[in-house]
Formats: sequence, structure tokens, C-alpha cells
Amino acid sequence: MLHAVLTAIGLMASSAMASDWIEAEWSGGSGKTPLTVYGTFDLPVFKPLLEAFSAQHPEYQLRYWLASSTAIDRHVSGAQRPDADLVFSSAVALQLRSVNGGQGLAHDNAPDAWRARLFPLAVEPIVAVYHTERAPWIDQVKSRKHLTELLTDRQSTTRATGVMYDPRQSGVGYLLATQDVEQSSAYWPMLDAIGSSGGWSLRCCSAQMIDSVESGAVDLAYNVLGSYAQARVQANPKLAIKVFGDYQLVMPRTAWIPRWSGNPSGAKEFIEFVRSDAGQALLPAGSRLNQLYRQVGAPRKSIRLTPALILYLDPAKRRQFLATWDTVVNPID
Amino acid sequence: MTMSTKLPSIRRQLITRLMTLLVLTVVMTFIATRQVAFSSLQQAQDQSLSAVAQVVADSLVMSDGRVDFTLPYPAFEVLAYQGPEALFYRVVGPASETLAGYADLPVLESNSETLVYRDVEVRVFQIEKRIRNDRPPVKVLIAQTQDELNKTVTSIASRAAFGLVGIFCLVAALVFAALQSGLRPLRHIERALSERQDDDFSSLEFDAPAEVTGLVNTLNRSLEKHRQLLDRSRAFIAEATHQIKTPIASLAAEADLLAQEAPAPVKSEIAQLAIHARQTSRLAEQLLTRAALRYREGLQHRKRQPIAPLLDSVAAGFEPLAEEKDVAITVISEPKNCVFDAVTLREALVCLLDNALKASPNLGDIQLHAATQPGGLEISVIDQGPGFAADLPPGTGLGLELVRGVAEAHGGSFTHSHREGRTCCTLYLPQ
Repeated sequence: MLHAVLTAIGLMASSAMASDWIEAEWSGGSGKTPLTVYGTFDLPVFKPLLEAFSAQHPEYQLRYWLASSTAIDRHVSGAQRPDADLVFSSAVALQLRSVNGGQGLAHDNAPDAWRARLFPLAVEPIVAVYHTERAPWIDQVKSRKHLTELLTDRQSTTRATGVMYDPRQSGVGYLLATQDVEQSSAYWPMLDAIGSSGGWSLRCCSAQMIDSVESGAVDLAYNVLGSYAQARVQANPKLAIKVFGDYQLVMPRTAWIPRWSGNPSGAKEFIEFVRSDAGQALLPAGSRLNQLYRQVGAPRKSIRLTPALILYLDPAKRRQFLATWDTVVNPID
Repeated sequence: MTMSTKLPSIRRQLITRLMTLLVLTVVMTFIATRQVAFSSLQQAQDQSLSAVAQVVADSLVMSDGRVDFTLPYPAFEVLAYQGPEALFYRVVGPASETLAGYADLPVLESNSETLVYRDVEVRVFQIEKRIRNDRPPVKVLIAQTQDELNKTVTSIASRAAFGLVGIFCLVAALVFAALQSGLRPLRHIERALSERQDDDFSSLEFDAPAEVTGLVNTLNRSLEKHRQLLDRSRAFIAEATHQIKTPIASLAAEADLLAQEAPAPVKSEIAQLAIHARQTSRLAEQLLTRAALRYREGLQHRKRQPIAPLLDSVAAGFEPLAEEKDVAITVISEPKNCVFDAVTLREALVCLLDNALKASPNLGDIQLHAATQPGGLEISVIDQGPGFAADLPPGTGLGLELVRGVAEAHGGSFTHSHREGRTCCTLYLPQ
């Protein structure tokens, strides 16, 4: 009892120190050796996994700090980097830049790992969400190109409004937009078509994007994280998930062990645990690694772990991309 | 015969040298393959790095007074396909300002260079492009680590080295098999020489490889020389035996005759001379017989013949001396035809009878007894003498060695015993 209280006090103290950028925290295990994980995975989703690992490894005092990917990257890359044993983020480009720069510690190689240092622990399929009453016709849309044709056809009366990530506000949104650009020549015409039709709204996060669809403000939320969409669609039958048939982006949630980790062996055990069948079973079905190999009616394009990802982080490249973006997208809201 | 100085075995020498050669070649192959593989893979890496740098350099333009360019995502992704290497790049403007990429990536003096960047070795490729003639060129740098490249190089070199070890083992097995079969003729010669009779000097007859033919021929020539030498010795001894025996025998006979007729004052000296002459004659006979024995070709002169006449003739030869001491010589010969060599057996019996007569007391008797025994012929000379001293030294002039030599030349044996006042010398000759 006393121990729990002391732990709680300790947690309050440390959270007070880090409160400006930490969104949530979880602590488990009464061990002496700390094992600190910085992650972007929402706590309610990730908690079963944390609890299972902590039960299996009571020798560690496991701490999970939830923060935004940009905040985590800013602190981990900064001069005053926090004590971290594992950096677990969905911002794969930022993750790759850290490891490419030599910040990661090598672990056993795996076929899907990069340089034995960056390991996918989960995936996030990217989907679109639409309102079934407001825009039932979206169900019949085959691909991005098809959507563009439907909206730009002179005889067509179909109009559509859309919402997507603001690439200036959201790291994930910027990553998904740039991946769409590299993936398909149908991307810019589609943005142009909706922009000319009903117009685009831009939001910071998946939740707000789905909110806009739910409230009836827009017809389509483009590039939403699959795990959020799944939860919201289950809660509201008026919402539906749309996967375009030309391709579906899949974003890997990756982890790496910082060179300065005080408990690299614990971090390696954590990686092994999450990647094991038992660990994967505790993740939402759509987020498991084996999702990559599941056929869903569209070719799944996992964002490849290559150093090319760091190009879009380059201010010069970012400036160029956003300049193009601004010529195509004129947000109405 | 002295042992020749022992040199290490050919096999051991071969193993030592092969192993040394193996280690040297494997190490050299590993190093050489590494170098070749490394330089060719690095060349390939340089080419891809330069291609990407070229693409960036080609995109360089001036727009609104600013340097503008593209960082092509697919081109960089192609680099990643060649192996999970860390990648660094930098675009340096005319005023040495960093336009994009890693600002701490050092600018090169040359096109390509391997240097340590962020604690790891990286290969850097640099391209310069002048956008305006009046300003310094823009530099595009692309760099990659060489982890995978080094892994591949080591794997290639190891495979080459292992392959070489395999080939070497095969060669070593073949060399040893060849050595084994090459040494086989030598073992044949060894066996042929050790198995043959001492006096067999015939040529070695078997097919030998060219390398061993010389040895076999030399051996055969040497054998032939020995055979000729032996033949000459035999001829000489036969000649000497014939030439010396007769004059000494007649010398002894004439000395005997002279002793009987000599006047009293010198009679005893002459008699002494006669005795010495006879002894010399006996000694000469013995020596010559022994020599003849040694050089006789085995037992080629053995043949089946009556034994009684030989015994009678030997006994008759001692009749005069026996009469002087009143010793009776009895010959008992049970078997009729036996296999023996008459010349040598006569010498042996003469020797034994001589000894017996010298040892016999006056009025004694001597038996010369031939008897058939299971598997052989036994000839005994029995007298009443005191027998031989227990520790009879060789070369006592009693001729026992000659007797034994004769017995052994016949494949038999010689024994003597003393029992109940009688001495018995026995020759056993297997039939």
C-alpha cells in the first residue's frame, strides 16, 4: 500500500516535470530497473500489452509516456534528451531519421527491420471515412481516379466536401500526403477535384476529422488512421470505412532503442514481446503486423523503411511540397 | 649392420608442406578476394551514389535569384534497395551555405572518398555543378555507410576461401593416393628382398613404374655382381681345397714314413714333426671343409645313397691310430640308404672320431652307430673318454663348430652328452 502511494507520488513528481509535452502516462511493475518507453500509441489501446509485459517481467519498473510524435522526436533529438529505453512512434520518417543519424542501438536483425535497429511493432492501415446517409454514392467509388472522374464529369451533378490532415499541423498528415504523392499520380487531381467541388477542410487529428463527417459538415474524411476509424464506425452506424481500390497506405509503428538507453536488454525484451504472437494478439486486429499480408480488396502499400523518407523532412523539400500543396488546396475551413 | 639416419617420413613431410601451403593460399585468397570484391562493390556503390548526385545536380536551376533543385524520392529509394545502409546527403550553395541535408557532412577535395562521419565509415560521392559562370559551383554530396557492403565482401571472401579449402582437400587426397601407389613398388622390393634365401641372387622381376625402374635395375646389377663374386669365391675355394689338401696329405704321409726309418738320435724329433704334419693336414681339411660348407650352394649335393660304406671308410681311416692305442672301433649301421652330402658328413664324422680316439683310454672301445629315428637319421659316436668340459669355449680345435655346421646345413642338429663314463656325440639329420 505504502509502496503504491510512494510510486504514485513519484509518478506525480516526474509527470509534473514532463507535463508540458506528456499527454498520458502508465506505470507498472515494482522492479528496481526502470524501463522507459516513449510512445504515440493511445493508452487505452496499448494498455493490455503494457500490463501483459509488466506481469511477465516484474523485475522492471515499466513506464509508458504518451506524447505526440513531433514532441517525442524534438526531445529525443534535442540536446537535453530524456532517459529513454525505447522510442515507439508512428512517425516513421522521424524514426528513420533518428536511426539513420546513428542514434539507434543494434538488435537482432529481422527481415522487416531496418539495419537491425528500427523494428515495426504494429501497423496502421490508412482509410477514408464517409457518411452513409449524406454521401451513400461513395460506397460505389472504385479508386481515387474514379472519384476524380465522378466529380469532374461535366454531366455529373455529384458534389463532395472533404476533410483531411493539415500537413503543416500534423506530422502524420504530412507523411501521408507526401507518401500519396510518391505513390500515385492520381493524388493531386483528386485533391483538385474535391477542392473544386465542395472544398477541403483541414484538421489536426483523425478524431476531429471523423467528427466533421459525423456532424454532417463534410462527406469524406481522407487518410484517417484505421484504428480510430474502426472504433468510431462501430460506435456510429451512419459512418462507414472506405478503402480505395487502387492502393491502401499502411503506416508502420516502429520502435528503436536509443544509444543512451540505461536498460537496452529490457528494451530488446519489450520489442521481442510486442513482436511475438502473444504480444500481437493483444493489439487491435487491424494493427497487427500480419495485416500487411492480408488482402482487403486493395494492394496494401506499407511505407517502406528507407532513408528516402528523410528527404521530405528536409526544409527545402518541405517548402517545395507545401508550395505545391497551396496551389492545389484552398481550404474552406 | 648400422641403421641409416632416420629422416622424417615422406607422408609427414608432405602433410607439413601441404598444410603450410594451404594456410598460405587460403589467407592470400581471402585477402585477395576481399580486395577485389571490395573494390568492385565500392565501384558499384560509387556509381549509384554518383547517379543520384547527378540527378540532383541536373535539377539545379536558378529561380528568382535563388538556387532551386529537386531531391528525388524514387532515386534515393533505389539506393536503399541495394542494402540497408544509412544515407546522408548535402547540397552546398555557391556561398558555401547548406541548401539541404546534413550540414556537418564535410565537403570533399575529390570526387569520392571514404571517411568517418558520425562515428561510422561512410563512402561519400560529390558532384560540382556551376549554375552561373561568375559564381562558385554548387556541390551535391551523397554518402552511404558500407556495413552491408563489408558483410557481402566478407561473405564472398569466406566462400572463396572455403571453396579453396575444399579443392585443397581433394588435391591432398589425390596426392596421398598417388604417394601410396607410388610407394607400393618400394614395398614390393622390400618384401621380395626380405623373403628370399640368403644365397638367392636372381634378378627382381616385376613391373615397376618409370621412377622406380632405375632402383630395380641398380639392385639387379648389384645382385648380379654379388653373384659373380660368390661364384669366383666358390671356384677359388674349390681350387684351393684341391691344391692344398693333396700336398699336405702327402707331406704327412712322408713324415710318417720318415719317422719310422729315421736314425735314433733324431727319431723322436721326426716323429714329432710327423704328428705336427698330420695335425696340420687335419686342420687344413677342417678349415677347407668349413669354407666349402659356407660356400656350398645349400644342400645341392645331398642325395640318397648307402650310409654303411661311408661309416666303414671313415672307421678304416682311423685303423692305424686305433691299433697304436689298442682301441677297438665298432661300426653299427642299421639303415641302408639315406639322404646326405657325403663330403661334408665325412668331414664331420672324421672330426668326431678323431676327438673320440684322442679321448679314449688305452684298450677302450669306440662305437660308430647309425640308427633310424622317427623322421630322421641319427649317427652317434660313443667313447669312454671324460667328455667335454662344461664351458667349452669355441675355437678349441676340436672341430665341433664344423660338426654343428654340417648338421645345420642338413637341416638337423648336433648334441653331445656324458653319462656313466661314456661320451656320446650325436648328429641328427632329418630325412
